[in-house]
Amino acid sequence: MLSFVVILGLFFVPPKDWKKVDSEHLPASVKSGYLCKGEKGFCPSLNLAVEKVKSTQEQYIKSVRKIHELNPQNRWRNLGSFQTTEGDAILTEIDTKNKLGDVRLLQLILVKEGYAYILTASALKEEFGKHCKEFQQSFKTFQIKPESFIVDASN
Amino acid sequence: MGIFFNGFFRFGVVLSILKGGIHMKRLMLMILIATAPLAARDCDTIDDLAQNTDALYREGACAGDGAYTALGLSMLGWGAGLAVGIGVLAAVLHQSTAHSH
Repeated sequence: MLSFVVILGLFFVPPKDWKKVDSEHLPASVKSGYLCKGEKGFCPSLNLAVEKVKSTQEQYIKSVRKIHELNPQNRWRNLGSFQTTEGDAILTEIDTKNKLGDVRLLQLILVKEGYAYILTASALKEEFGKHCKEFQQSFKTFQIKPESFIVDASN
Repeated sequence: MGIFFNGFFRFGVVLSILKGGIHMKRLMLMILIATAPLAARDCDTIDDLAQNTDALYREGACAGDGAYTALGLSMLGWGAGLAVGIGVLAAVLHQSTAHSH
């Protein structure tokens, strides 16, 4: 029996001069990650994670909100719809705290064909304005491309 | 020996900062785990720092900082938790590397 496996090429363009995190060292769900040097310690980062889901985008966003708000230190906001080449995604913002200061995360969430694609950008809240434009530019470049087909001819 | 001591000290500092009130036995175990692969190479660039974050993250050294421990192994959690954890860890490692030069 022949079976075909489509390997999805997930793609986004990181900000210029950001360093790629060796993907061998990332958790399986995180497909790629990038880092840059922070001015005040905390290193801004950008990563793309993928999760298999059964819910709709709306249901998924509700669950995401619930999970983030489990931590009373977090502040979660839905910033609304964000257009990507793959369709309308939802842009969310999470403010949280850690030992190096207040951190702001932007999460772009797109649920498409049974998968949730999550682009997460982070930076210190006070430096966020400086990176915000490049985060949004990277988000706009997000694409899912069928990269190759593998034919499994074994029985 | 210099590199080993440097790596050992660096990760001792990092883990102490990141984990705070951890039980000493567990801390020592984590230091040993974290130090072994890093003792052989110095962290000079942000690439090196980035490469060495996941092991510590999985060990839980960053999980508390990520403030996403409630998510367990949720893949969403990895994305958000990683963004925070990796940012903290890379920063701390970078600072300790800079101080050692």
